[in-house]
Amino acid sequence: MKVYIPSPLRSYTGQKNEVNATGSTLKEVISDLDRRYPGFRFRIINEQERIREHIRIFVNQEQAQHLNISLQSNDQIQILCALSGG
Amino acid sequence: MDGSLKPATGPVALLIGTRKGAFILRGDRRRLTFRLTGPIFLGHMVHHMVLDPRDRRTLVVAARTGHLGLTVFRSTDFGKTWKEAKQPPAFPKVAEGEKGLVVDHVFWLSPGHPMEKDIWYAGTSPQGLFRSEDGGQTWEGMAGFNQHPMRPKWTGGEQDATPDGPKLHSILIDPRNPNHMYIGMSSGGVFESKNKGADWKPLNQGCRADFLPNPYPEYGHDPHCVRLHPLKPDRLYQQNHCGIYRMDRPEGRWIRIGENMPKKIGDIWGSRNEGESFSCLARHLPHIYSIEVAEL
Repeated sequence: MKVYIPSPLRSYTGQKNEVNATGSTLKEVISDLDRRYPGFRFRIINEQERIREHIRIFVNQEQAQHLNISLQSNDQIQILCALSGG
Repeated sequence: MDGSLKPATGPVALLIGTRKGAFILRGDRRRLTFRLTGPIFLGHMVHHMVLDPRDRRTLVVAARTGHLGLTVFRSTDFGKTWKEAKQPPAFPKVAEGEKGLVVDHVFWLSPGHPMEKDIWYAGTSPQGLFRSEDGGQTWEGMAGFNQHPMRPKWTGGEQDATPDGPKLHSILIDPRNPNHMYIGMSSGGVFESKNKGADWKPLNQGCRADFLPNPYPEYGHDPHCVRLHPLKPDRLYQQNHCGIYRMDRPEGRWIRIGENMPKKIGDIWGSRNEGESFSCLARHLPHIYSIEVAEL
């Protein structure tokens, strides 16, 4: 499935703004990305397995609250940096 | 003076961590002119950049961005190329339903003892102590502090924090004994370990904390920076929320030496006579997190 990558994370993906990943849950997809782009996961998921405070992950435009969401191969995932400040 | 410790006389570089990245000011042999390099990691908040004095080539950087979590970068060629840590500092994962600690940022990096190649220590926000045995590639928590039964009381918990988060900093290694360490915590105070971090004891006697009901508590102080005298490792200095202090070991009592320091904040002042008088060294500083002086 396709995963949109925000600009602060593109140093991991060779500046690609969209990459393909596999997995049957969001957790597996992010682990797949971390295998291909080492270090990627820890920048967006903390050590307690929670999405970091200023990161938002959308699956088919619905915001994911946790990593155990089941996925289909044609789902679209967007990783975004939350808007903050004024 | 310890006979093995000598004043630095050669060229130095200033390693500067800022909210907008890191910078290096490299001086000539006589320290008369400096050349600026940077920003390094533009867009990252660089809390600390340190040169390994054991090889004078390896740089280790503590960084995060406003959105992304923390990481540690490492260069073995004085900043020409960089690699990210494989396993940055992180607290243990707790069971589902429990609230575990999360490292917000690495605030402090210290190379280990001169005889312990590749050993590094890191202090984090919230207060955590981590150690690397492979030059900063992988980091493990030091249970002697992180799981110490007194840690919640020493640190004061979540509500007892500076606006940018509570921090463990000033990890100091006695150059004569790698088992002898000090740390500073804002908040928490100064602590000492004589067994390489397996256990810790408060070291705050004589130091004022006038924001607490008891102005001379055992712990709960707010040191901003603690330093060992570079040539006399039995002498400690600290600047904290209430003043500037000195301690001579083995005695364990802080002596206030900063009464003559001007009250105005924001500039850098220096004293050549243990606090009897101060002179201004620099004004109009930009917003910086840290400056380390590195011998080249």
